Amino acid sequence: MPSARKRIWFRRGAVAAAIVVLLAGAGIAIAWWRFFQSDPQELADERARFRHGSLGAEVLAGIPYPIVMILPRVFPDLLERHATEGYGPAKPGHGGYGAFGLPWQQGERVPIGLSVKRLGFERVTLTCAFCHTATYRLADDDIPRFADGGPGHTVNLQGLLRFLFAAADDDRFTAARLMPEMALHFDFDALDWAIYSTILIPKTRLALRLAEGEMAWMDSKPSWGPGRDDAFNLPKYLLTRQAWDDSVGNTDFPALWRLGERDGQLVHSGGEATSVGAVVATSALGVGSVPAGGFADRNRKIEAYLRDLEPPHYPLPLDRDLVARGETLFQQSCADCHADGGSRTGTAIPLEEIGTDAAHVLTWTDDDAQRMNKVTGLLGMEDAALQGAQGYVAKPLVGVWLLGPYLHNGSVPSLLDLLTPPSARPVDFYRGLDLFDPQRVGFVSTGAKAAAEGFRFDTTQTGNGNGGHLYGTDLSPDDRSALIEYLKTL
Amino acid sequence: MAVLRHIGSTLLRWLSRIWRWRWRIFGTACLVLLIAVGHAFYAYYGIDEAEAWFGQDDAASNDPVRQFKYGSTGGDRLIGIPVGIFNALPELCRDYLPGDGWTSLGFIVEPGMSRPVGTSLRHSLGFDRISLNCAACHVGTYRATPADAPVVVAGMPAHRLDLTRFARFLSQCALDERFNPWQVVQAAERTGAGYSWLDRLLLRYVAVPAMKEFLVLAQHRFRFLNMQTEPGPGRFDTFGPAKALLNWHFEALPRREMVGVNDFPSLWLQDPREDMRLHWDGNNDSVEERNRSAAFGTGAVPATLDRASLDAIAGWLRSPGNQPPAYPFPIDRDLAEIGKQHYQRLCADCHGRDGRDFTGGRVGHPEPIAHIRTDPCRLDNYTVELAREQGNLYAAFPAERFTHFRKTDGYANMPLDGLWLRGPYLHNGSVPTVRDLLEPWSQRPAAFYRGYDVIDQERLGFVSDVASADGVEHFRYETRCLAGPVLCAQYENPDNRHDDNRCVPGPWAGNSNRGHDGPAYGTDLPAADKDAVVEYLKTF
Repeated sequence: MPSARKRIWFRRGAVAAAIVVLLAGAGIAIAWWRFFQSDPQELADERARFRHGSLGAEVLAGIPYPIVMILPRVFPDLLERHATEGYGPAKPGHGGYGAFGLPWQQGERVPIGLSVKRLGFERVTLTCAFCHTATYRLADDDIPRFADGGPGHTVNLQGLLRFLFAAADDDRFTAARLMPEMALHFDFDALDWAIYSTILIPKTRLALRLAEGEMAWMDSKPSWGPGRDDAFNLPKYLLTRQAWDDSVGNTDFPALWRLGERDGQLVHSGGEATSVGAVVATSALGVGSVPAGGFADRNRKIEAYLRDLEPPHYPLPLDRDLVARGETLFQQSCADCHADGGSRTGTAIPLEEIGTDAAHVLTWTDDDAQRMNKVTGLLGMEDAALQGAQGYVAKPLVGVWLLGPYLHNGSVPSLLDLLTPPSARPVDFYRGLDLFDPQRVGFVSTGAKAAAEGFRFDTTQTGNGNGGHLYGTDLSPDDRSALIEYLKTL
Repeated sequence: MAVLRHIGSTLLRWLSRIWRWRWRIFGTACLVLLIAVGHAFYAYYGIDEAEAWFGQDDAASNDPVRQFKYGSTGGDRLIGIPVGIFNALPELCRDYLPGDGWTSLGFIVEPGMSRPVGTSLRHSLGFDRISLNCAACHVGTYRATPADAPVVVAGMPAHRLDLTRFARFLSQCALDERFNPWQVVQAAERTGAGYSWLDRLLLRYVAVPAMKEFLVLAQHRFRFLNMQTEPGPGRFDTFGPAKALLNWHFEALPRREMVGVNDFPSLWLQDPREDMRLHWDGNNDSVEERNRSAAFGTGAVPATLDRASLDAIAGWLRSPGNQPPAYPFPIDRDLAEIGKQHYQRLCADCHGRDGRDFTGGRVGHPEPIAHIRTDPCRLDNYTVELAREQGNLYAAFPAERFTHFRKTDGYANMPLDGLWLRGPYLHNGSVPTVRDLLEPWSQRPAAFYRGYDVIDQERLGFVSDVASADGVEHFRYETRCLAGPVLCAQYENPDNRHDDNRCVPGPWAGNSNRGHDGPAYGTDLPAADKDAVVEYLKTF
């Protein structure tokens, strides 16, 4: 009798075990299918890869595309608030993510700088192009043009983050509100409904709220405004887990043109890196790219693309005689630091010599760099070593006509202003407009339209100082315009 | 005896076994019943079937024109109204309508059809549900004289349909005290709808409250209708619904972008229009994409789109048979021949060689607003921001995603096929007749009436000076303030000027009849030549 009962129990156990194994197998298969099965992205060419190619950040930082897509229409009030905060009254607060100044081509489903890659479900991540595509127009009614690799001077990254955080803090961020909106546009099956309502929506909301906590230090510092972020406080706080201090490192997104010329030079505004490769690797890490698998290979490809990337030619007529005169002036007074092959080009000019705003340099010391190197070392990124800020790097002026506003912190709106003594440079002006100003060379930053649509930039705020770089401020007006004419050709 | 005892004991054993298993049996029976009911419920409420006139086994039942007039876009899956309720609303909320029945809003009811042209019927979610399709805005009528019966023409602009007022009626009715589950269902049943007790429960406690909530939401999302010039019959803000779907904050939009009223266009001969820039401002050059974009306006979003039906409709639109009817009245051929000379010299490059041959250097290209100088509001109403966002409306369906929308800098030059049925003229329908369009703008009628379907054979267009007929008040279209200098001074931009070709806000914004004016447009021709051009255009 006991042995018969044992047999029965054994048989039952075997059946149960088989069922468990089967269910687990099916569960794993479904999980793989719905969460990890990946499709290669369709990218026409290297430019499309730069704009929309995944950097492998899907697992750490990917947001489901259906959620990304419908957030602006579920939270139009939050979009408007965070897309216009700090801007003039006529700044548009509609148009989806375009309201944050993202470069977005008509006919494309996402703005330049976003990658959509399927890993189980479609996930949206950032690419380099998000911060490194310049938008410009030559006339008010023009359709915006985009310069790949240029500084994303209209991109309001902080506003976008605050919008996402505010949405996550809002009670509408729930399956009951998001699912019907998504179901209008996506052919969801029952499993999708289950996965989105019970996993992806709550998970995305939680992740955004965690990120909000990580980024709360932003609120005690001056706003980034369009075209800038706090380049080195981001890794300092987020990766090396340093205590939040009162340093302010708000810095313009730089251009990525002709990086082949930067071999052997210091890179980053403060000379924090000694190779372009290190910048690419740490920046990729910054958008959530996982340093594994094809990480190094992908970064090498990006670097190869950027080595020869050219800025657009100056699109308006030039005065050839003036250019010739300007070139002479440039050779005399600027070439040493700013020409390709100049003796100080790509070196860090010490703070006391350059005299520009010190805040950025103060955010990143050798100690910070060492802590960062320990982190990247642990992640197996040997070539990504950084160092403390050295001063401000004298950069080659490739495509300088599109690099406004000028200086590392974008505190001087135009080349004309930069060639004026600091006391005569504008104390406040408006950033974020993409209308090119051929007279001053830079983007329109003053006047009624700028005040109505632009982001008010106050040079008296910490990190926003517009002093220093006195070179050329004593030129005669004629020489100054000649020099500017020449600079347009670079 | 032994046998009986055996049977008895077996029976007893079975009975006792059944008794022992009574809960299992009961449970199983319940489960089976539940599954059966669930399945029946699912089978019944999962039925999704639209009335259709394509792909039928019986060839005689296939009728593409009927499919166009009465077929589904799929919008009825999302916003279909149960037929009984649809039929009951005009009576239930009679005081919000200008007259009796849907026809008082300009809907057309053909003999033998129980629902208006431009509606589709679909059995889904357990009910026969009705909603609008393409034909609501693209089927019209004309008459030779007021005494004649209206002739229904498919593909012609629905120049009598007041779609704005239809939308407004629905929200007014939904907010009315009378729109409560009991009265609505009762009214529906009075129109002959037969409901089971279950239907009645579902209507009262699910469908009608859901409809009310939807209409309240829709009223808010469609508030752009009340933030701009009243369109009147035959016009609508085409891209307003797209902005509503995207939940744009209309109050925050620049005022120069707020006015989007334009005429419903004709839909004939779509195949020769491929690669032309379509829509009034030419913002899209794909017929197929334009169709899907228009379907949004009927509630057909990617997940509900009835692709088979829309393909059948699009197939007909592109077929050579989809032509405007020939002008049915006498044409003076000699006069037309003179007109042809002028047409070839002045108009053909932009408007095509004739009414069927659309070749011409600038046909289908946007004419920069600085040249054409017509009312710029519709142009300003369509923005780069909208073009971009439209690019992700079908994001989950790569083959169907909109990739052709582009902001343009003017109004597209249109072929003139069926011109005699396309009045009033210009994109905003601001000029009542072709003959008026050949006058300099200052001599065009400053105000006229829209919505009458009697053809003006002399000036070509519809009779535009009749304030009311057959008990219907026609819509008075004002191109600018006409109340005299003192009263007009209190309004913004009373002369409705747009000198720098930007939309200037004001009560008449979007209604200007300026532009398409000057020697290049034939407005300086002698009167006799203008008459000849009109005569020639009758042949289109």
